[in-house]
Amino acid sequence: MRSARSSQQEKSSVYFHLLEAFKVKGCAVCVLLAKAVQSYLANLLYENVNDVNVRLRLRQSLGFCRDHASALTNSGDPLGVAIIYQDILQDIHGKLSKSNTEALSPGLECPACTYRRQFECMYIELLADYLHDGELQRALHASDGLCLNHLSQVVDHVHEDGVKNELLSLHERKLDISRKNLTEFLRKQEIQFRNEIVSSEEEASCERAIDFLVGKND
Amino acid sequence: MRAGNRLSGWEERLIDGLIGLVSRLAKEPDGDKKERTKFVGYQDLLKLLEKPECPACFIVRRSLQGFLSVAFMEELTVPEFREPLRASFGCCKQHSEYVRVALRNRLRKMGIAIVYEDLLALVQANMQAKNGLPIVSGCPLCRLQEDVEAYAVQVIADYCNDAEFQNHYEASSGVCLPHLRKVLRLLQGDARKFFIESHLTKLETQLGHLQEFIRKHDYRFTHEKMTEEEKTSPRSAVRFVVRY
Repeated sequence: MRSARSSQQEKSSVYFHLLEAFKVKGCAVCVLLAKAVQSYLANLLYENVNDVNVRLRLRQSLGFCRDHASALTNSGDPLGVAIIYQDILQDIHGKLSKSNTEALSPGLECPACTYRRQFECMYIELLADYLHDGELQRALHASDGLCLNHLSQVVDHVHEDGVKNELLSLHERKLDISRKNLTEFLRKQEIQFRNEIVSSEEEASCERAIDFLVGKND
Repeated sequence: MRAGNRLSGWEERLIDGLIGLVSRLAKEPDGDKKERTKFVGYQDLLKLLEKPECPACFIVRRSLQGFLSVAFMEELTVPEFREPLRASFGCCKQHSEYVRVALRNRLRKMGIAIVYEDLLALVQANMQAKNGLPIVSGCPLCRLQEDVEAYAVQVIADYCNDAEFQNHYEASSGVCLPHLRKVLRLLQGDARKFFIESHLTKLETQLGHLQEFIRKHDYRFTHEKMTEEEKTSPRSAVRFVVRY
């Protein structure tokens, strides 16, 4: 099954998206998920603002979660945001005027989070399936590696110990580099080493450590 | 933390108090929460209402920001700060944003580098010991936020019967929806009625601004000038529904 999937003919576009994402800084899965959510929100604002079912769904979830609401307001389409949230505020007004305060909590999950999770499962499964693939391995080795959350999910999907151990030892080596950068950054803050230049990797080491532990925002 | 932030006297006093409160809360073991003296003075609360944001969100945000700035500089060796962070393998995604903001200050960045080098070493040790991969969970700042939030909501609910407070509250933008739910759970009778009516009026105003914003995007009315409230109405509506 796996060797069949690895054949060049069967490689889906998602595989190539992954390869491309490994070239970008940070966890490739986080990068792809951020793109997926952005295109979901852009599509919603461009085409579905007046869709009855979409609006009903958004009323039930009281719009989006904090992170995705923030992404929506930064999407550059305030008119779409205004139409969506006018509807939600009207709904809240109706519930509040009936003193139905319990109904003021979201009844459903943020739709962007639901969408994101579907894509996350797809990328994780695909990555776990293609860990044997030479091209993907090379891309993974040259990349920053996965964040802790996605690494953990991929490990859970891999059943062969050899592949699992290889993936973990690769990330251990990457952690070594991250720790060295942090230590060097700290050393160069000391008064006797202040004349030494802090490299860009050392300068960004704190941010990268946070990215590794919690992933990047959408 | 205050350098370059240009805070006025009352804000400095309020934030100092909040940092003290959060530091104290952080050091109290779970299940040992004592009755706390209120330090957000009445006048401070009235001034908070003049700000165009939910006063409870302001209290939570500034207390966590203030606490982290102090913690990453002065409490690096304090076990009450470091141990919960080690146990949870760092802050959750939401609170890591506060850490990212704190990185802008060079001195705090050093503290953060010390803490995060230690956290990476901890993850690495877990991996080497074949204990499986740790998951960031049980963020200590989430617990702290809950405590500060409960405090802020209680302060607002306590003053809801006061006529002067009511006047100021009516003129303010009010609390956000998540805090509105929490305040309403603490209110009964006239205070509850006042709070609901006040927010119904605020919602009507917000809806009016949104309606005008939408109308003035119609090609027939694009020549009409938008007011500042109308321009910012989509963002304000989002801010009302999800706290920032």
